[in-house]
Amino acid sequence: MIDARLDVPDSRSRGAAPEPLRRKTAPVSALRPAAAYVARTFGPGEVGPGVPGSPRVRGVALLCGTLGALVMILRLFVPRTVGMADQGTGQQLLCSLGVRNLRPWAYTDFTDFIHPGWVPHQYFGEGCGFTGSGEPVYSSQLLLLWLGKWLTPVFAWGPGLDTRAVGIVCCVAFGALIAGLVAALPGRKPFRVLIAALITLVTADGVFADFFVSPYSEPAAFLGILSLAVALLRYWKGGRPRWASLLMVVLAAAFTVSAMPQMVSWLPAVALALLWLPTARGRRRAGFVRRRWQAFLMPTTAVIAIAGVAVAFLAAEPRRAAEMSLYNAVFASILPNSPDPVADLKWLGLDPSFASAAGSTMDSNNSAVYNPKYPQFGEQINRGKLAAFFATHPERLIGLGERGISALLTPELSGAGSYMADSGQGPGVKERRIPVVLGLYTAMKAAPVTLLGLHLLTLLMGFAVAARRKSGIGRLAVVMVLGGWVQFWVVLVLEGQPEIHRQMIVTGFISALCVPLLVALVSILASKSRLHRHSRAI
Amino acid sequence: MPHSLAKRAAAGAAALLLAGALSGCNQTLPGTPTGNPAVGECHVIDSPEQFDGVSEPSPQVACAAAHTAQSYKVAQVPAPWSGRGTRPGQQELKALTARMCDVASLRNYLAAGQRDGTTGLAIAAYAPSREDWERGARAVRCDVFLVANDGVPRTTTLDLKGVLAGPDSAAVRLCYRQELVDGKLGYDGVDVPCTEPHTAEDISAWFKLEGAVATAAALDARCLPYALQFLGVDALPGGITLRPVIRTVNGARTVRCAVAPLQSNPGTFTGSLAPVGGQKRD
Repeated sequence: MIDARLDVPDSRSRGAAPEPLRRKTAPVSALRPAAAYVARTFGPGEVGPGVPGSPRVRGVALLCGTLGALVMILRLFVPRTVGMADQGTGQQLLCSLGVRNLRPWAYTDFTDFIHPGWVPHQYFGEGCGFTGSGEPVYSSQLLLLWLGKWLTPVFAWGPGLDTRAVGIVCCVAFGALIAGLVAALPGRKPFRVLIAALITLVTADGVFADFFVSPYSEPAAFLGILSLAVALLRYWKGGRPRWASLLMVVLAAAFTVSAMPQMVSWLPAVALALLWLPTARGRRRAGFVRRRWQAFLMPTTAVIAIAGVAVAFLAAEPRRAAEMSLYNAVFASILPNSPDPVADLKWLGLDPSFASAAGSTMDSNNSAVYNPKYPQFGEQINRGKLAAFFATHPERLIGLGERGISALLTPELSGAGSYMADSGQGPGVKERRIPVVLGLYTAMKAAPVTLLGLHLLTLLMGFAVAARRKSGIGRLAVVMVLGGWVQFWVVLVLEGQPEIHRQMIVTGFISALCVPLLVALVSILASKSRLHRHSRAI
Repeated sequence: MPHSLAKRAAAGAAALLLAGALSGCNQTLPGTPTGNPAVGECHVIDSPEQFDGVSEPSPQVACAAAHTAQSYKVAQVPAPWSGRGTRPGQQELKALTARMCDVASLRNYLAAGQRDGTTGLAIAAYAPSREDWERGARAVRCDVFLVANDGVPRTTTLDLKGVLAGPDSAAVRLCYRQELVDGKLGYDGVDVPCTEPHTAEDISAWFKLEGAVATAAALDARCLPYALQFLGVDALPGGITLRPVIRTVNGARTVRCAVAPLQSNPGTFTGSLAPVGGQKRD
């Protein structure tokens, strides 16, 4: 028997309406009508296996995608262009497209404002590539940059590349992903629109959106994560893997892991997502064994393919970049926070004379590169050794984690202005018109443990939704949190701390996505699945 | 979303990724070998990244054509760095080459005399590329640039070899532009190359301002021998006057001896008062 819903008189007659949150025998709360209204308007309705999709969702998806793209375009270009100022690393990626930035010569001058214009330029040898070595730099961001370069003359922004055109490409791609998300989400249309709107709101915060108009590779990471979410929701929707949806996951994952080296840390989470398929229900039928093999073989093949992309991407990473990361991990992260730097150096196989370089970067006056024994560093230190160091010194992870959370909750790049030089804004002024995430993170700084609470709550509710409602969004929440955690620690352990605020931007984005995910999970848990209703009726 | 739509989306995404991969094809050219540079070669180096690069393989251009950099010295990397099979890192090389590409060598290349003050010059050092280093090249190229006040290299067709002894020396000579205050020129002025309007020309004789030389006459007396050396004469010509500039930096006042054409009403002039052919050597 199905309980009648007192606060929603026609809930039974409307098949798509949500079920009551929980029947209470206590006095009716004053908030209950409001909660009921929200649930009735934005609740997911029935979710779970066997629930038909919302009719005419394609039109709503297209509308949401268009609105999402427009919101981002308006947010970035009206009344004046905002973006993220280059702090000196933009050229190493864009130069491969044969363009040079039109910006002031001195470093202190060009970081104050955004300088979106890049003009054609012929580079030679090591003039293009990673700073200090000229090794080529690769990123899936090049795809967005290439489209931006193609669009730049269309917008009459000159013959080269304008990062404003790249921003428009990013906004359109974001809109397409929002459309895909609305189509892939479970539940009723208002619920899908609500989740899409919340994700748009998160992405529209200046700490993330400003990267769209910049020469950085972070937009590829943001859009890659979103595309992976959409592809996974589609992948899980069918109950068993299909080639097309699996191919979408592979492409999205390949795009994501090749955005920047730290994104390779998503490989375990992607593997989990691909292999964590909804359990099949019903009696064994002919071809069951074949389907089980198919359900295992296809995602395993996909994981191997994505791992291949990740390995190839890491192999193409500039050796100089890897050396800098290792340097920062040892001299800017481990040693300055060590109770006994000499003992740590001994454990790492380095000469004690390196202790004088504690707290330095490669550019510092006391840099270890000036130590005659510096070649020893290249011989002794690698990523495996750093991982082993922290595995054998787990107490160091506590302080490291605290510093990481602190950096994650401070997502603004200091000194990088948001405006163009002719905007009338002062040097280095940051744009904070939609400080949703910035405000949330600033509030969380008072009790940083709340960030961990947000993650744990999302993880547990994700497991609950995945187990009780068989909904892909539960799996997505689990994958997002676990992927974010792995990335968080990989950045901290293997990349060091001098640029930790920028390195934590993507992890901050994933943490911020926990909020819309939580809203979705709570809504789904508060509703009743068809499966649940049937069991109660029986 | 129907299956066909999903397949189309997947195919579209695959095509985009392929386009992206193709777009990643680097448009950088290998350039010229960096293992065997020569003094007097000219190059066009017009981006900060090129300027700060460890090696610089842009094609050589004729020094009579537009260029920004000219090699004034080639030196070999000393031991123990030269013994390394792989090229040292950027910071190590920069520290090392900063010592190799010295100002004294540059002044010698420019044919600077003891009293020649210069401005708007910058030095950059370039090591062999990684590949050339591994082939055994150890030559470091020292380049000189004409730069504007903001550090941006200026394009020139000037050959800087021996320029200070020639007729085009004003382009690199240090002059000062002082402002008129109550009909008199101020004590200090901004640094400009002598090709720009200025009120005094530096003669590379600086000393600390102390009580004993605080009067105008004392300053002139102190600067006079240097001015005679600069002008290559035994007595100050009638059309030239001494015009010392007083520069205050962090509270410390320094006198910079300078000369200027004698004018009834102080005004600006362009060019240099230095004699063509260089100064009298001590």
